[in-house]
Amino acid sequence: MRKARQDFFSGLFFLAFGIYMYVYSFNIPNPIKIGVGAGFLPRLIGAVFVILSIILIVSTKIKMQKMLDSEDEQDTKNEINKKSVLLSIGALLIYVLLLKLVGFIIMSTLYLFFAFNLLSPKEERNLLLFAIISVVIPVSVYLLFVKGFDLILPSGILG
Amino acid sequence: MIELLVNGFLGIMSIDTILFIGVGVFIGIVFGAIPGLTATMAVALFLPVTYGLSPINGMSLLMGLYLGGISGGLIPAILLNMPGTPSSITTAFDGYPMTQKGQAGKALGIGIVFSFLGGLIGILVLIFVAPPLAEFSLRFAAFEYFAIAIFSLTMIAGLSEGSLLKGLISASLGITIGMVGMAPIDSAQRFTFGISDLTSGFALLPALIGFYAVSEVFKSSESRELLDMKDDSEAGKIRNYTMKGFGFTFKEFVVQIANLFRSSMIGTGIGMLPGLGGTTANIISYGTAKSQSKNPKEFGKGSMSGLVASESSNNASIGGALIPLFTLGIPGDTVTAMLLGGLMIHGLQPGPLLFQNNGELIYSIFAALFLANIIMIIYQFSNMKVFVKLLNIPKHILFPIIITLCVVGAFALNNRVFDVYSLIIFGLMGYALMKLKFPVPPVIMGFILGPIMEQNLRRGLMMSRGSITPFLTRPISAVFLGLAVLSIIIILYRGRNKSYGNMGGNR
Repeated sequence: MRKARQDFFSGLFFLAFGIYMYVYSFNIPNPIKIGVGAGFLPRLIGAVFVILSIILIVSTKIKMQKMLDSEDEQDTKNEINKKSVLLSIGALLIYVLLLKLVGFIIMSTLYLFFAFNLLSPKEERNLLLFAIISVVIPVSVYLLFVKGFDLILPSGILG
Repeated sequence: MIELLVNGFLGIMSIDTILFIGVGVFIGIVFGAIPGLTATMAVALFLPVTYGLSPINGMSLLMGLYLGGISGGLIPAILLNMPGTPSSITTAFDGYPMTQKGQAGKALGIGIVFSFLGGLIGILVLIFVAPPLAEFSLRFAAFEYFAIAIFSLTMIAGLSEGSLLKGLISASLGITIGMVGMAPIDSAQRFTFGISDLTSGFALLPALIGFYAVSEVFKSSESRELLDMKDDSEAGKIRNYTMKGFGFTFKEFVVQIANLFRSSMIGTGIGMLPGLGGTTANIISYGTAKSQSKNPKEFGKGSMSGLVASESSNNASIGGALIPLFTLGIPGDTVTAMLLGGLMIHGLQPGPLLFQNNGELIYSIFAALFLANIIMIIYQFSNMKVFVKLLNIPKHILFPIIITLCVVGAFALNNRVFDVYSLIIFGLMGYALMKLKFPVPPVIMGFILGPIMEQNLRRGLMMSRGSITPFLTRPISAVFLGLAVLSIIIILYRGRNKSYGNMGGNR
C-alpha cells in the first residue's frame, strides 16, 4: 500500500513537472527558423512527462482500489533510521558548503570522523582508529592530488 | 593493421604507462570485489586523476580500472555468494556451491582463467571490428546519429530493471537534466533561471558519482546493521581455501572450449548494444549454456560450465561495449560514458575521425587493454589473499572515504564548488529515485544521449531544410529507427505478459 501511495504521489509530482516544462518551453527563444528550435525538446519531454505520469497515476489508483478490498500488503520489514539518514545528508551539506571557506583538509577530517561514528555500529566504534584515518586520508589525498597530479583543491584557512 | 597494432604496443611500453595499467587493474579488482562498489564508480572516481596525465597514461589507467572492475566481482560471488558487481550475478550460482563443497580454489581458478580468455576474445573482436566499422561510419550524417541515439534510448528505458513506465520517466528526467544550460546549435539558454553557473549545464562526472556513489551512502545510513553483512561462519570460509595451479585439468578445459566461445560471443555482441552490458550478457550466456548443456541439472549446484559461461561473457562484454564508443562516439552504458569523458578531457572526440586523426592512440588503448587483461590474471592468481583481506574493510570506514574522493573528483573537474553542490543535488535525487523505485541507469543514459539526439535531430533538419524524409529514407537511419520501433514493440509485449501490477521490481 505504501508503495502504491508513493507511486501515486511521484506521478502527481511528474505531472506538475511536465506541465511546467511544457509551458516553460514557449519562453525559449528560437532565432533560427529552419527545422525545430531549442524549445522543441523541452516541449516534447514535457508532454511525455504528462502522458507517462497520467498513466502512472491512473494505474496506481486502480491498483490501490483493488488493494483496499484485500488485505494490506506487508510493508518493508527493516526499520529505516530516518534520523541517521538526515544526519548523513546534513553532514555532507555542511561539508560541501564550508569546503571553500575552511578548506579541504580540515572539512574532510571533520566529515570523516563524524561519518565514521554515524555509520558504525556501537560495538565497532574505535575512536582512536577513526581519528587517525580521518586525518591520514585527507592529508594523503591532498598531497597525492595537489602535489602528484597537479590538481587544485580548496586550501581554505590553511592556505 | 598489424603495423598499427605493433605501434600501439610500442606506445605503452614505458614504465609509467605499465605502472598506470597495473595500478588501475589492482584498484579495479578491489572495487569490483567489494559489493556496492562498481567498475563505473572506480572509473568515475579516478577520472579527475587523468587530467594531469598524458592521453595514453590516462586512458591506460581507465582501461585497467574498467577491466579490473569487471573481473573482481567473481571473488565475493564465489567465496561469499555475494556478487561484487551486478555482472557477476550468475557466477555466484555455481561458484558458491563449489565453495560449499570445499572447491573454492578450483572455482576461483576457473573464474579467473575464463575471465581472462573471455576478455581476450572480446578485445580481439574489438580490434578487428572497430576499425572497419569506424571507416563505414564516416559516411554517417546527423540523420544516422539521431536514429542510433533514439534506438539506444528505447533499449535503455525499456530494458532497465523495474517497469517500462518508470524506466521511461527516468529517461525523460535524464534528458531534462541534460537540457539545462545552453541548447546545441543556437546556444539558447534553457532552465538556467539566471544562475550563471547553470549556463554551461551539469557535468557528467558529478551527475554520475552523485547518482551512484553519494546516494548509496545515504542509503547505507538507513540502518547500521545492514552494513555488516558478513557473519563469522562466512568469514571463516573465506580463509579456508587453497589454490593449486589453475585448479582444473586440461581435459576439463577442452570440454569447455565451445562454451567459452559461445559465451564470449554472446558477451561481446550484447556488450555492443546500448543499454545492455555485462549484467545482461552474464544472465543470457548462463541461460544459453544451461539450455545447451547435456546435464542442465548440474547448473546451480557447482557446474563448471555455468561458471565458465558467466565469467567469460562478462569480461567479453568489455571489448563489445568499447566498439560503439570508439567508432561512433556513442556510449552504450555508464562505464563507457565515463570513458567518453576521459577521452574528451584530452580533447579527443571519439568517433570515426578518431581512427584517422589519432590512430596510434586508439591502438595504444587496445594494447593497454591486452596488457590489463594479462596483469589481471597474474594479480588474481598471485594476490588473491590480498583481495580477500580487502573485502573485510568495513563499509562504515569505506563509504565516508568514498564521499571524500567524490568531492575531490567533482571539484577538480572545473575547480568550481558548483560541481560539488550538484554532486549533492544528484545524490539526493538518486536517493529519492531509489526510495520511490525508479531505475537510475536510464537517468544517466538520458542525460548522455539526450543532447546527442537533440543536436543531431536539429542539425539533420537544418540540412534537409525542415523535412523529416531523410531520416526515414536513408538506409542506416531507417534501419535503426525500425529497430527502435521493434524494441518498443518487444518491450510492450513483454510488459503485457509480465503482470503490470508488479512494477518497480526491486533488484
